Amino acid sequence: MTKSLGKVTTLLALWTFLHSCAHRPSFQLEKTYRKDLRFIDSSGTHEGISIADIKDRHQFRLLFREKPRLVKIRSCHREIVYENPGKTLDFSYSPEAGLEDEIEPCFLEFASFTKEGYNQTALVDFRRDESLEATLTCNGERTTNQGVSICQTREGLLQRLEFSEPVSADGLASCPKLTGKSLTFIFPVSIGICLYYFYDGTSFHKLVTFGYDDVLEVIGD
Amino acid sequence: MINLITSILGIAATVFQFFTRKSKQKEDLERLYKEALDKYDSERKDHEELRKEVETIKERLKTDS
Repeated sequence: MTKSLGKVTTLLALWTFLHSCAHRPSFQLEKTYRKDLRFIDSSGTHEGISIADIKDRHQFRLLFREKPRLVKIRSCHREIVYENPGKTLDFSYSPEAGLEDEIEPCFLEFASFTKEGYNQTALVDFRRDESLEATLTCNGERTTNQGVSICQTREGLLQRLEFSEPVSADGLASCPKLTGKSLTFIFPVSIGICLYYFYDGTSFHKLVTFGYDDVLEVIGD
Repeated sequence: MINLITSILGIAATVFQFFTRKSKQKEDLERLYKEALDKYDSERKDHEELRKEVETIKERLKTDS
């Protein structure tokens, strides 16, 4: 009898230990994490960042790594909150005429929060009247983009944007300086969101950058 | 008899420790969740300021070209 109780005690102790180790989040508030929320729209599947053509109605499906407790969807005009949506969330976005389809910039931001505070985010920007073409080399990938480019990489890493003829450049005061007239711009990505504009005398190209200082991992996955 | 009592007390202590730890963990997670939300909300850009700055940049580029 005593021996059996001894075994039960040992098993209970082991169970307590295992429970205390399971699924501890590695989330740290002071860090800016890579945007890694996956979502699907009419142009395909994206991870963290995307550019969409402005239109009357956008359909998004958000794919969460874990079931969130809360999801926030925010633009320059509105914030929509969903509680306990499950592992996917279908969301229809019709930009408000004269506001969301005209205000520049007016990103659409997705953020999910699990009960552990684990946070996934994504950023969508929209192509409006920008039409100047540029070739972006971002985080090892080269893409040619009409009007708008978006680049996510670790803070401080150097990226490149190329044009077919010299263009003038300028950006937000809080971002690394990009000025003057040039064919090619090599620039560092700073932490958080930065915005740059390029002009060839007739049309604009917009560059959105997002720099992070860590990639979120969940211990116990 | 003493061994039996010791074992029962051991089990009770382990169960108590488990629930105490669970409760502390739950409190910590709730705090982390609220802090994560607060941090996200505090990072909100001033949209009006941003809009004005972008307008200025675009105007400056047009003027300079």
